[in-house]
Amino acid sequence: MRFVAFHLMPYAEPGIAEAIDQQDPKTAWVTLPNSNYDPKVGTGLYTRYLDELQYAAESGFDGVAVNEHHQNAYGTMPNPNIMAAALTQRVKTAQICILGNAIPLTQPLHIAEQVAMLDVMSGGRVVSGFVRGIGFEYSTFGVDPNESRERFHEAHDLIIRAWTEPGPFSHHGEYYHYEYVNTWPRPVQDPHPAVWIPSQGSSETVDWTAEHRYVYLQTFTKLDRVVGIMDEFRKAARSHGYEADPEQQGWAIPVYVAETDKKAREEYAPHIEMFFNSLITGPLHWFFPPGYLTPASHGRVVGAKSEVYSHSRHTLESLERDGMVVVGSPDTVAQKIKDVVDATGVGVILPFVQTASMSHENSMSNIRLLGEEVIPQLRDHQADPDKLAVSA
Amino acid sequence: MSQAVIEREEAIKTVAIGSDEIQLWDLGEGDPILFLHGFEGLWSPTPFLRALAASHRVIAPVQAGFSDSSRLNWVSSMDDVPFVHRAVIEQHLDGTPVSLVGHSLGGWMAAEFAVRFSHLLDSLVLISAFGLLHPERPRRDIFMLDETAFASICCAEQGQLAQDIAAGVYDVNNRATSAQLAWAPRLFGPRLADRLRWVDVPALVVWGERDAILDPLHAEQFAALIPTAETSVLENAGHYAHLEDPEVAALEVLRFLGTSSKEN
Repeated sequence: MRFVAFHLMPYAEPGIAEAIDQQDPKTAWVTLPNSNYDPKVGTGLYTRYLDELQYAAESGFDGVAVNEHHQNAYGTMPNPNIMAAALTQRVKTAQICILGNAIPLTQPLHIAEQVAMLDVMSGGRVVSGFVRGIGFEYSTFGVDPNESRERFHEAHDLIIRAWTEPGPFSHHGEYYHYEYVNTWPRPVQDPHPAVWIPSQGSSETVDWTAEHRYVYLQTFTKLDRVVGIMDEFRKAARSHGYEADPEQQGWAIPVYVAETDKKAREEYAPHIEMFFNSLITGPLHWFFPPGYLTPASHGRVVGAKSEVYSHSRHTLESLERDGMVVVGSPDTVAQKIKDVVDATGVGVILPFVQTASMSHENSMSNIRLLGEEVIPQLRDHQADPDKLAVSA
Repeated sequence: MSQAVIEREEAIKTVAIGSDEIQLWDLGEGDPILFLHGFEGLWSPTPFLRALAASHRVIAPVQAGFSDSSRLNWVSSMDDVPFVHRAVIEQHLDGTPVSLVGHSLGGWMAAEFAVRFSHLLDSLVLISAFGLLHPERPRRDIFMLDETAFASICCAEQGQLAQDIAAGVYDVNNRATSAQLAWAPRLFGPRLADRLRWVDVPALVVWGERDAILDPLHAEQFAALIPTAETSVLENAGHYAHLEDPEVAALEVLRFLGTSSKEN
């Protein structure tokens, strides 16, 4: 089992939830005015969040993770590679995971170069996640959502070539044109940095990830669907001629541990509720802009997601019931994670170690308990392959 | 409101463009008008088109990717679109110069056509056309509005027409094709303002006085850039003047067509 401490680095200061509520339409994304951001507070937040990830690496996590989101209060890392670079200097042996670069939004040669730099700076410890970018980002960067998937694939192919094929070579594709691709530095990892794919579960992505033998990560999804998707992933791997390793399958989930179940729930509830009721909110048609989903998927996905991302109020109870959070004492949390591992077969667990308005003190306590009391209980745990739930 | 099958009791024709096909309505007789619809698609001929068809031959394509028609795989931006219309004129009308009438997104298409292929035009009519960025009056970003909000502002009056139009605009396929053409730069063409000087056929810019999506100041902006343009503002009409008040809109277009042509 591998454990990666995932941080979203939010701007969840007092007043933000009210500011989000006052937007018309209600949103934490794209049009929430940046006058709500206090740079002086921000300096302290970045330092604090880096301290938390460093502490996680020192407390028993195998890796730390950051991600990319633009122009919002939910996550203040428009460039995750900058944060990963800071982490290469703070985190000395653990993996540094970028989950992920939204490669359709930018020049793929930039990403190839930056991740190669990070791999060399860290001595070969980078995990290079690639994502399409969620719908909101397509309103920030004027990229046609219809082109999202094709750009993702062309960008991915160019990046892998840049890492593995001797330069200079030229690339003239549908979306990107480079006369000379010849990246300096070249990455340390052979053949290239590990690639992980965070996803919301489309069948195309599941199959593509299995085909490339990358690591597949599921985030912010109800548990019963995670079961089905991991089963689909293993079937896809078989169809491509191999048995998927449990450490190719990951689950990212908000987690909070305290001394007792009661204390954990009391301490966690306001922050996880702020996360789901404020920080993740925005109009559904901004979340899924036109052309982002295939017409066949559009109705199904928007219907499913409207429950998660709508403005109806989530509570800790409802989120726990749906398997969208894990909260409790160390033993409770360890057992819940074991149950998920047994049902889904995942071998990589990525707790979001800090959530929304959660204080530094509570975040550090969460990290300490995860590292010292939960992870040791799970280190050698393995799902029984014969007992894995299979999707209907 | 999606109609899965376009009514075929009227003259719907097919035009081959390479190995692709597009469908178009072909109504009436007389000098040809080519009509380009906007975001809402075109499911069947509208009263406006029928009014024009009383004295003209009206060609109204179901534009590729709208109203359940297939996209053309070589069209991925506004820059490609004029070539589709060129093919329609050359193949369906044997290259006879047309009066090109475009509304909203279709108005932007008409402007882009006119700056490239004015030799195929007799005249140009832009109705509440996108395509320009006004320095003082930003247009409403229809991609950020939901269907209800759009329906409340698209016409001068709320009601069934506005809801039907909004249903067409927010049809999943119409919306995705609209994004392909107009997502970024959003709802305008950065090169168009500099190119409108090349329109050398008579031009009419029609706007609804109560257009809440594109302020009527845009009409003046187009007219200032097109050397041959005159403007006409229709009272009590919103962004969809030709659907809100089809007789008045048709009369104004016919007046213009009657008094102008390249020969005059």
